[in-house]
Amino acid sequence: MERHQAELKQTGLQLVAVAIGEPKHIKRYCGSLAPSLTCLAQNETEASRGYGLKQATFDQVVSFDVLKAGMRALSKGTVGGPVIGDPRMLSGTFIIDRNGVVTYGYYSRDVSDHPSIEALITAALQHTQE
Amino acid sequence: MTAQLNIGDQAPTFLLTDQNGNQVELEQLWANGPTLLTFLRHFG
Repeated sequence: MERHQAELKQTGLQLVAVAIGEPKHIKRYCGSLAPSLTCLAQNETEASRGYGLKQATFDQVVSFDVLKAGMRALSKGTVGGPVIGDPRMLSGTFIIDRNGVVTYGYYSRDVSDHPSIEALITAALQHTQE
Repeated sequence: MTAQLNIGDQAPTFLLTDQNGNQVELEQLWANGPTLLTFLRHFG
């Protein structure tokens, strides 16, 4: 998301990332890797589970698609740091309006899956056109 | 296990911690404007 933050912010959205960790982990991630995001930490997976996110099955962690995505990330120079959190927790992305209503939701199919930036921008633009 | 959210559902709010150790309620964020909320597997 950090790579596309300029396009996303142009739509007027606030960008917020949530993961498991402590303030020092947020400082490392948001301070250097994703400085344009508001990063928030949860102690365990309570917020993730509250949004209906689940732990990945074995097939959602180890698959050809996951391997391919990992190789693609490496080829772009993306190197992960130490893993803080729950690497088996599947990710999810939501757009929430001012009234707290979900207007877009994406549940990752496996640990390498993310929504397309085009889908996010299209969903985000609905807010600016209202 | 909580069910997946659908479009039109009310988003649950949680009290989380920012990088300075301050507590932040999610609903305070979206009250300021539409919010893209992404749950990462981990910071790193």
